[in-house]
Amino acid sequence: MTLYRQWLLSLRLLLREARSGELTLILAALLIAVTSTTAIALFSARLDLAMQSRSNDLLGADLRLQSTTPIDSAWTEQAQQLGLKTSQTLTFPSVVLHGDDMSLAAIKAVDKGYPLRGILRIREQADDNAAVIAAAQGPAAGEAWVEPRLLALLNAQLGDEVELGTTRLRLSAVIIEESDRGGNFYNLSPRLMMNWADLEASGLTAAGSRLKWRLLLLGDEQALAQLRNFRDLAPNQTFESLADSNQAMANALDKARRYLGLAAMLAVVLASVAVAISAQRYASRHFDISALMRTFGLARAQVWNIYALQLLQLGLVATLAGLALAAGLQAGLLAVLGELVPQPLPAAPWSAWLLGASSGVLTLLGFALPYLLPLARVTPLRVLRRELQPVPLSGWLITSLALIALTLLLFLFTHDLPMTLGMMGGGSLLVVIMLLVLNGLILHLRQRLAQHDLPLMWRFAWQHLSRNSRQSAGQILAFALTMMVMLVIGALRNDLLADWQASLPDDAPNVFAINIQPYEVDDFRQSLQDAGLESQKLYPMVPGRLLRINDVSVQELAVADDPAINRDLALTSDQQLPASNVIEEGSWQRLLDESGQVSLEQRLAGRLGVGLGDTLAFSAGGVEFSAVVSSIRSVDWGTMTPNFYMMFSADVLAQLPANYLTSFYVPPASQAQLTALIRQYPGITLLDMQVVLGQVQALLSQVSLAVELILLFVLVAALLVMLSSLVAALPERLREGAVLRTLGAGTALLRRGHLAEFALLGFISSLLALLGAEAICFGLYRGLLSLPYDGLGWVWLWLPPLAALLLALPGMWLMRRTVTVAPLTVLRELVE
Amino acid sequence: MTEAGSNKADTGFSLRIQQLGKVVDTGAQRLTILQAVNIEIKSGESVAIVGASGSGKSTLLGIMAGLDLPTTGSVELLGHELGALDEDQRAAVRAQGVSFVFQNFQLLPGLTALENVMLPLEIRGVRNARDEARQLLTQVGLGERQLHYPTQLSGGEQQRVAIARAFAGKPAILFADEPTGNLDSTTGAQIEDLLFELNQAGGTTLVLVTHDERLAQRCQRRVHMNAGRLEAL
Repeated sequence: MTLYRQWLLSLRLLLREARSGELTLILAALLIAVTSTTAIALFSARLDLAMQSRSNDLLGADLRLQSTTPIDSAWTEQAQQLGLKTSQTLTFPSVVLHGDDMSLAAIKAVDKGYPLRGILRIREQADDNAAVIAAAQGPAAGEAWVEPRLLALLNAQLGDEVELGTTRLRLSAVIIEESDRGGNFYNLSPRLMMNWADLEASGLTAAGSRLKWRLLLLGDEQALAQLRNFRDLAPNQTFESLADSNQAMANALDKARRYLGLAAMLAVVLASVAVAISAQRYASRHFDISALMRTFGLARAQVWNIYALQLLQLGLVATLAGLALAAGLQAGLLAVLGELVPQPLPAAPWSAWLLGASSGVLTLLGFALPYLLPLARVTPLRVLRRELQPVPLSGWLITSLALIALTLLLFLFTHDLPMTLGMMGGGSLLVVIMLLVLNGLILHLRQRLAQHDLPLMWRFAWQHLSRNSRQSAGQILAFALTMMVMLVIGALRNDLLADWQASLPDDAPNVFAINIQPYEVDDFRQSLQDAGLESQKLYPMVPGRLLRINDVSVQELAVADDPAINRDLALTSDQQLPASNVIEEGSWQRLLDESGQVSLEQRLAGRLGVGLGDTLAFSAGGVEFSAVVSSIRSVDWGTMTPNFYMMFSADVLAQLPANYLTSFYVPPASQAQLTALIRQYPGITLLDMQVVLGQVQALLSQVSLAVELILLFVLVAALLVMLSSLVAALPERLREGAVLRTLGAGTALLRRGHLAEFALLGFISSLLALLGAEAICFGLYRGLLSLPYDGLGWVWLWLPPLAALLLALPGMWLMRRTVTVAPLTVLRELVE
Repeated sequence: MTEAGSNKADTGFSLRIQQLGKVVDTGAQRLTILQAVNIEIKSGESVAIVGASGSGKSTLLGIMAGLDLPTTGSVELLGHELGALDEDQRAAVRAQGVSFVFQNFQLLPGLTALENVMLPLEIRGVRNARDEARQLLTQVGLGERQLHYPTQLSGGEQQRVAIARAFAGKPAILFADEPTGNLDSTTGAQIEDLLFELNQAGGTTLVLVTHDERLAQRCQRRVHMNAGRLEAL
């Protein structure tokens, strides 16, 4: 028999078996594995590609000088002398007004050199079908370009005028692509781009926090290197090259991708288990046909070829279908994440498709092959003596093959060997421990319940669950873990911010005012009073960096990567300890009595390893100074009042240029007064927390929805595990049903028994999921966020019945034959 | 695949067994299942091997068909000395003209009646497998039930499918292991008729193992198996 004929035969047998439903579960499990991994692979690869191929564009320059204060024009002059092209931008948050509507926007003022490099594409009509134009320059003076969502937030249209500070700008285009926008993951506010020439008129250029000046530089490497050495940078200035900016963005995206990847791996693991169970059953049901084929005259190698070819074709079908589904799922992920991912994304490379496809192959090789190998070794004598079974592969070999396949898959995904091994080792250990505990519980309960007389249907249900205690423990664990993660994500998405807001007193401040210049302080305070708005204290604020701890540069310490190190901290000074602060160590009084003192926030002190008596050196406004830690404060950050990491004795900041900040409460009825304040003090940035929180909420929703989309696949995979183990146990169930019915048990009793069994499985899983989710949420709320925690509430009522139903419906459908087929038929079939 | 035809000799015999013995090592002891078995079966002959359960009938059948190897002695099947062949070469001999009918039918549950009959034809690469299988099923009286699955057929009907499958490809020799053992007497008689009709029509050698005396009577020759030894009746 030629290989071609063997292939034809394998194909025919495969088609016949597929029609009889024999292969449905294996196929479905493979499909889940391929779909979830491919979707994530495509998604990640496209993000990667977007960042790599356009990294120059993303920076908008070959090199960038970034500063929190205006950049000395000497830099520009020097750069131009060196033959470099330059452009300057300034970005800052500000409120934009359109009639009574307002929105916080990420303002970017650009000069005539912009864009130096990269892509700026706009549409001059809001209509989605209008032509997209590549802009060679930013907006003209008097005009502004905005992201489409800002139009929606402001209820504005192109051609309308908006107010920004003391100037009015006409909206002349929508921005479709701005390649140097930076990773949008942390950029909450929509962009408004304006001309540099309008900055002065807007009155927004006064020094303050959250302003970023950037000098974009383009030219040859030598000139850029020379410019780097032109003069020393101030502590608040940095050079950014491709490597730096990529790193920051790669980190952010990496996190998101890792969560999605982890969820996808969970789906693969469960799908693989389903494949293994189905393959085992498939093999044992094919011992007869293998023996028969041998009696028909096929050689061992030919039988093996037929099964290998079947497996290959099965894998191929599942992979092709999975790839198609994955393209859809990935599009769904992108749609959910919307503007959070850089637009437009390049097409996924072949390697991503290949990576996804490899999950199907590896799952088959690692989980199906070990069970199918013995099929070729079936002796033809089995046709006469059915008890002759091929020797299965040893247990450790099967386990090792499975572990190798999973490890390989994980490594292909992460390209990170230590992490892969850590996850495989730690993950397996964790799962084994949880399985052992759960298994032990079931066994313990079985002993306890054995002494009680349960109603018959519950006894049936419990017997089935407890007889295969390990299998039941595995199924419960799979469902419980998946549901738990979904619950936690759901709770965080829906309730976290709402709960926090609810925990604030009704009149908690809801507007922050920053960048108040010293000369505006009295006027602003008066205006608030006139408007009947009660404000917190106005705190002076000096942006400054921590340079040294006890004369050792922080860059040389282990804390060099701490987020508090590489950015400006808000330094302040006040006589009074803020209401939401408590002194934990040292004395507040020393700050008032002595000079050169600083009070440090407790958590930061912990992170930096700083204690009482340590000396901290700072740089602010071009001045270096130091202070001794005289107290450590705990701070309740959730109160919406101004809070600070560092509070100094009055002498320390006295000589430094400060601006002021405060927060106050604007009742819903007084929104007009807020608008009036914005118009009156254009230079002051008023952050409406309601708006900011809304934007955070939207971001949270999008990301968690994407993860839940993948988790849905995990849930389906868990269901497949249950179904495949049910199918594997079907003959036993059929026999049991037949025997019970010959003994006089009615179909209703058997059905109720099945219902009770699957409902119990769903019920226990959901209870475990709820308990786990409550514990995690409680920890997050109380431990991490210090918020009161109300519990999952109504979920306790609807999830258990829903989970019971989710498992009972397919379970009972699968078991339907055990109650409908004539007992004699079953017993006769099974005798064979 | 190795061709098994190299040591083929046309002797007019379908099967020749000389001094055949089978000993099974069960670990604790050595069990002698067959000893000094000699038999020659001519082409086209029908032979019944009768005997009590455990007398070694089925073991002998397995060895005759090349499904198992003897411990001692020689088996010549369709002119091939089986002892000289490895398992795959023996499979090639089976492919050339050996077929089986089993007590428990051995139909594949996932395949329809038609597909079950087609299977050996497809394995042997017969071109119009479907047509031939249809014809055979009609011959055994199941023309209307070709697309039924085994579970949808009665025991007698299943054995008819098995017989149709056994005669597919016109085998030179057919081994039947208690072909009516799982059937009631009326159905069993119908199956016997069918078996002998097809046996005569095709000139097939028929070797059957049974403890049903009536069935054995219909064969041209009967031999008796007793504690591993063969006695002519």
